[in-house]
Amino acid sequence: MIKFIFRRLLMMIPVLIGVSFVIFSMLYFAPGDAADVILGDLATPEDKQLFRAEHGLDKPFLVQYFNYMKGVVTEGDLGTSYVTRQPVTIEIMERFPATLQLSAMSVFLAVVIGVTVGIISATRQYSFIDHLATSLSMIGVSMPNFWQGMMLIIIFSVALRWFPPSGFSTPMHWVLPAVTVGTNASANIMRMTRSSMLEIIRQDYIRTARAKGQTEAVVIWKHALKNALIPIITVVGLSFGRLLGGAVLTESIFSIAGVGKLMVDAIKLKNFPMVQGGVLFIAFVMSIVNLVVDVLYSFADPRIRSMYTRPRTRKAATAKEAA
Amino acid sequence: MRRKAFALAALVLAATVAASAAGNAGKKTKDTLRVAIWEDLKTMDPQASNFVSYWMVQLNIFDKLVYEDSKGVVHPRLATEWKFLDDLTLEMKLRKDVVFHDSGKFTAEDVLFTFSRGKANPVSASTFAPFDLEKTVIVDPYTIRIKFKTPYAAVFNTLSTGRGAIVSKAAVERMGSDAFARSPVGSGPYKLERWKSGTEIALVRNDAYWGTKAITKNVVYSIIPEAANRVIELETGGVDAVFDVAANDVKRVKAMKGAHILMGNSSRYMTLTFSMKDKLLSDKNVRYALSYAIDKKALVDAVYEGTATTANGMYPPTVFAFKDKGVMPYDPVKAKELLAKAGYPDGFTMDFLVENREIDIRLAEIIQNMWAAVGVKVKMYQMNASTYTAQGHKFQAGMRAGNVNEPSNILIIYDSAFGERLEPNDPWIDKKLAAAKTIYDSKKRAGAYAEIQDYLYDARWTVPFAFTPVIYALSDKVEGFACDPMQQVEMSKVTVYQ
Repeated sequence: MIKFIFRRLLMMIPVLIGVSFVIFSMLYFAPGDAADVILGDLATPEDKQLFRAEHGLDKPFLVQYFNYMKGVVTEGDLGTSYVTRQPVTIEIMERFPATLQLSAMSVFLAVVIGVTVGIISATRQYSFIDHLATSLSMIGVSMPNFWQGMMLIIIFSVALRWFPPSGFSTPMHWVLPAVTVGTNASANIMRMTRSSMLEIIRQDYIRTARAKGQTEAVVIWKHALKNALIPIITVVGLSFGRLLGGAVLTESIFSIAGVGKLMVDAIKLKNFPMVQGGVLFIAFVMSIVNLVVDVLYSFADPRIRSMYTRPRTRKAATAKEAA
Repeated sequence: MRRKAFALAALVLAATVAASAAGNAGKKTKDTLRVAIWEDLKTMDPQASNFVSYWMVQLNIFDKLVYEDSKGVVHPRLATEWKFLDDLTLEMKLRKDVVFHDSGKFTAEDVLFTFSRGKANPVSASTFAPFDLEKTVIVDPYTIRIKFKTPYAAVFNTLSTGRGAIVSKAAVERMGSDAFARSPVGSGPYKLERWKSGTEIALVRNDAYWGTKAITKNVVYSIIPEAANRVIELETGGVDAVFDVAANDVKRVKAMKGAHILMGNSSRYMTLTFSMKDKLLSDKNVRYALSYAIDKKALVDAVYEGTATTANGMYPPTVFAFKDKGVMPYDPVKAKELLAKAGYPDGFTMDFLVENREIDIRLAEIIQNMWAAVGVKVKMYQMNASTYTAQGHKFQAGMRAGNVNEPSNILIIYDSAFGERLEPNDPWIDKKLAAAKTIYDSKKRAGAYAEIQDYLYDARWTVPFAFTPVIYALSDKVEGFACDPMQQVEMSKVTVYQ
């Protein structure tokens, strides 16, 4: 297993190099000059030239890319933000805790709601509760985050005064944003749980389990859910990965200083090092999440686990078969 | 009768002010003032800043040499007295009792150092260009003789703006500029206590301040980019004061209990710009036609919901030497006549560059319709100017927001040296702009700017159409909050009651 994880970590290197090259060339060839945007239109051509020289923007494309990658690899330096002149790494790490916390809380909420409701509606297919849950999840999926966030603010902040409308400092501040993002993600998880469970509970081994006389709870939670987990883990992993890249709209509505807003502001200002560093960081986080998802698969499914744990024996077996 | 009504109104106003003051009289004060602002600062380094939003926080941390009020009167701050030895030499005497937040003493060395930083930073270089620092001499630790390359009439404006904030030389040299930008050392009434990027900036009173010490011990700026959320924070008691209230939130605040709107003139204005490089727009008849086609009053009233005024001059009335030219007239019939005269009886199509901001787009859409009514069609581009030119577009018509309080800096857009948006390349205007900058006598200088405004009004290279106000929303428990046109509010003078 450790070997597998190590191999997967190595595979991240080409992925990250690819991402860095693509994003670097996109920004390089994107129209607009950082000097114009950052210095404003009262700056003289000399001021702008000074700025370009200072940031190495007057060098050829490949030289710029090479210099950048050299910094990343040798010093873990993602560059310096044009705008704040602080290291990009520090800026991202300042914002990342809020994003991580929001994502984790939202995903936790989404899993609790989504899996529970999904199972209930799968086991009672076409019942009133199933119809209710399916319709609610349709609304959950279709309701845009920004609208839901605003409604929550209007109801729970302005009218009832239960929770503060913006910020992310105290537990009271966490509730509305986490609910906004969580309910949206839970709808997807609920639908995936329901369809995956529906498929599983029709399988023969479920009938066998029931025939053995096991209680319905054990049949559903142990036999069925465990087999239905793979697609659910995939959806949860995807949602979590996406949220770690920043929930831009939710962050904006609740004035949370997270990674998403940082990136959008950086793109608007043509703050190239910030955008590059941010995308690279998000790609890195996404790879780690994918790795964790793969490892979780192996816990859910012994067949997958066997592929990781005994590769040599398996190879030997295949070789023998071929012979 | 009219005068009577006015007197009555004044009386009522005085009574309300007295009442609100009386409402708080005798109450205990709070030691924390919470303020909602619309964006985070990218830097605390005054010479690396080019936004009013940065300076409005920095001004509480740093001091300036002088303060020039909106009437052009210069008040002493770190400089106690000053005189021009000749047109190119300004001698300033400095306060001897000033210490920076790190206990270092303030001297003329810090002043010279601040100027040299301004000259070296691309964000401020053009502002400090007239300073001749090689010839500037420090006579003694508290006397500096500042030299200029050309006579520099706007010097007191420059020294009063955010870029003129004096930094501690020792602190910058010790930390380096980049670290200084995160942990500034000034001599102002407040010190930076903590700064949570994108979330809040907290200041604490500087008890060693040389002047009147701050009334409220702590000031916390909450960064809330959404305009509606800033007002909701006020409503739910999260903050005591809100900067930059959106026009459509004004009614909401007015209906709130325990809060009110503070609104006043600003130096912000909106103008249309026409490129003189463009063959179509270099025809004066066309420019006049485009100006006549717009019902400025209807436009401004619709978009700003009664908070802004229709522009009656080339720049806002809060700025030195403003000349009331009246609103540029609206006359669609005449517009069509002029278009026919210019050889476009059926109109034409042109590009129209608009910043990608909600209010700009709403304005532009109405203008687009008004122009369409006289037969002029526009292709609208919603982006910033640099992206626009980088995509290979040539400037034709555009819309621009300005927020500067010094005529030479506002009118720089008409100068040949300035970017591509207008490019009138008019020798008369270049000469007059250069000359006006060097006139120290304020009456003569006002005369020079009046002449320039007449010329620009007639040339119609631009059509200024809106003067927008500054709008604050305050809790009734807040007192001493001045309605500054550039949003440069001194927090040290603000009291907040329980």
